Amino acid sequence: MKKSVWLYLFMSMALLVSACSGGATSGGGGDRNIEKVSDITGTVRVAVAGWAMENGVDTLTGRKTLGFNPYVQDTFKKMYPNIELKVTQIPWENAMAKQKAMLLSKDVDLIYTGGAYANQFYQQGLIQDIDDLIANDKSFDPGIYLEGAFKNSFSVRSLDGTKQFGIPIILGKRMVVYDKQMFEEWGVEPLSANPTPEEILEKAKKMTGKNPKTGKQNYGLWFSGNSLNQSTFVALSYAYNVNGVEGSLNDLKSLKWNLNTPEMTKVLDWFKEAAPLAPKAFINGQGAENFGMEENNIAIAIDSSGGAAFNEFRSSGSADLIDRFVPVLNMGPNGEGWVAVDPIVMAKEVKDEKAAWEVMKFLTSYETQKYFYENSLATPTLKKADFVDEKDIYTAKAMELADIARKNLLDEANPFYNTRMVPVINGFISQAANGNPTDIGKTLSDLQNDAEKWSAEQ
Amino acid sequence: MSANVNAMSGRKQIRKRRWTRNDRIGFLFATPMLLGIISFSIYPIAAALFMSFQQTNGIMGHWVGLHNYSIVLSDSVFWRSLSNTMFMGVLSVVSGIVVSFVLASLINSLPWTFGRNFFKSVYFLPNVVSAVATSILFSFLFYPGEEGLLNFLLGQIGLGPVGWFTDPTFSRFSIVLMSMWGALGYNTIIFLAALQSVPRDLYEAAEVDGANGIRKWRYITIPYLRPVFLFMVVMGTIGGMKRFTDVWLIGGTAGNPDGTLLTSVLYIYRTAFIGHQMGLATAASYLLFIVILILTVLILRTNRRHDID
Repeated sequence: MKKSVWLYLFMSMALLVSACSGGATSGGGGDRNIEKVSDITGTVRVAVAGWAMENGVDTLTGRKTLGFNPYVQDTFKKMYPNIELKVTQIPWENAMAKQKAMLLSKDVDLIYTGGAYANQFYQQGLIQDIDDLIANDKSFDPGIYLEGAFKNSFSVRSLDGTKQFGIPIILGKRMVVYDKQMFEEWGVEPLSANPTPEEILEKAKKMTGKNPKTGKQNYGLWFSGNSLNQSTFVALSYAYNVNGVEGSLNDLKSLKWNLNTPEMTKVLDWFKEAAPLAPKAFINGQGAENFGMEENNIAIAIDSSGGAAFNEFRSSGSADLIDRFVPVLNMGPNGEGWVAVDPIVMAKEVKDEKAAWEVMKFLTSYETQKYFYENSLATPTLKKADFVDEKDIYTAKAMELADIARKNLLDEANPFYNTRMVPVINGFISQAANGNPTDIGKTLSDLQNDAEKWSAEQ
Repeated sequence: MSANVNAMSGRKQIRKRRWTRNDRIGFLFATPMLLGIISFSIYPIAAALFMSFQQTNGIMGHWVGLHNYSIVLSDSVFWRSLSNTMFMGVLSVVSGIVVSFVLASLINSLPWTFGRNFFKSVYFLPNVVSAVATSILFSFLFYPGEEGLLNFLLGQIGLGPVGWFTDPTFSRFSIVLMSMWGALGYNTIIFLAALQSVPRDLYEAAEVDGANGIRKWRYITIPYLRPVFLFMVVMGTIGGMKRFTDVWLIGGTAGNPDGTLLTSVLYIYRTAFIGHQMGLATAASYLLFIVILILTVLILRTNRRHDID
């Protein structure tokens, strides 16, 4: 009797679980007729960071997701039956050190990694440029990729811009997003399609305080105060035409620094005025937990992904939040901002170059990017990504931003910017947020001296 | 002459005795461990020392002698990071030891075994939580707005919200509080074990002499536990000087707010893995090692002087 009760309970639970997890996975080859592409043979070792290898469930939306391994079985194995693909999963945590170790020990042929890491690997001579492979392969069309991501990013091109070492596969989403409802409640005109830093500041000031309709505390602005690469600074540097450094990052010793300039003063002035408009937690990268949700209390978020609003649409089907949280371009004169580009790169000492090149093409292809979008909402790097949901205004805007992206020497590829300048800017922001901004002239003068000293020591 | 011969043969016998079959087997068993130590400890230590004399990104480099050390020593950011580290380290060691010792004494004085075990488990629980989880938990407990739990409680007694991790005045104290919460259980367990090793007859003799509880604690317990205090101070100092995960997760690479959470290891991390200047980073690592060594020697010497006194 007892046994049958347990069995009944177990069966009920199993039924409940399977009923709750309805919905088919998407993006794989499935029943489609996938044809063989080539008989080429070889073994290719791929190291990837952060990909879901097996089928699972998206914790934010509850949708079933297709793992990379089943996807490869459904597609790649049919297209290239004689290529053995060995995939190693590496967590993002300290991925650079682990991938570097794999490259040094010659245990990997292809790597999916972060753009800044890829650039470092190239500078260290651990990965190769792929210009010859592209030139000799008529079937590969670089024209399918967004210009800004393929040609204008240090994540895939050498610092002097002459060599291509990577193919972009996934983009980051960083745009200005505003809460239309909050603008209406405060009676403020919506942001323009390409807002200037002044427009953002002016409107954010109007919406900081007690909401006239709800009576709740609202904050006009949010941006990350401890960003690893201070992407808001990059967008502002475009807006104010900052020419902070001249020369080539290949030759750090001869870089000419222009950090104590009126343009840089404008950037820090903007931060000084913007910092008090954000919730205090922004100093440590928090404070925007509810942005994109019903209970939001922030009017404008800079370098936002809009992810929460779109995930709500994916899980409930309601487009209310998508209509409410509107993405616009970043603060550059043409809407430019910092764009994260994650590429696939090839090891310098690759085991089987031809097979590795075929795998590289497959991983960055339309099909694979479609798979990544449908299963993990990754932003594609393609000009024509017709698989993007027409309601997904955030991915569309991120792709628009990537297309107009341009290189900036004050970027994460610049070691002085990353290790010395970003901490100074973040420190300045935190002081401004606490009502004690340091003197801008002194900050910039110290930064200029530090940069010159740093270059001389290289 | 014969005495010399006897002495020499005796020495030979001793030498022979040093390498018995058992010794060889012992070394054979220890070989995997020795190889591990050589490969994963001694070699990296030596390689890092070599690297600290090079200008290198970890792959390619050239010899620059003491240049990296001179750069680090003249870098005000390094000194600031060291000062932050020592400030938080000293506060953590002192407050951690005092609070855990008092707690351990209170738990030890409980007459019921169940009560002792219950409190031991309760206080030890935070020790099994990872630094990452602790940092996330405290970033919400110490949330700077009125939504934060601590600020909500302060609000109930009419005090304004405090920027625990966002105001430079409070940030280092908040980190110390957080790390104390995490380490309290371990320290308390060590003190409890030590308290139980104090001979009962010392207390009985003191009672005969009319000593009360506080005097017994002051004149028997504390002096008897001095080696344990020393152990805690040395280990706490070493641990405090290596502080990284919590400050990195909360303050980012800048050590926000205003660099107050920038510690020496965070300085080393961002120089090595963000700036890719391995030579500078390893030089800073060796300088930090020297500082820790000096502090440890000073603590041990001070203790030895007390022993002599």
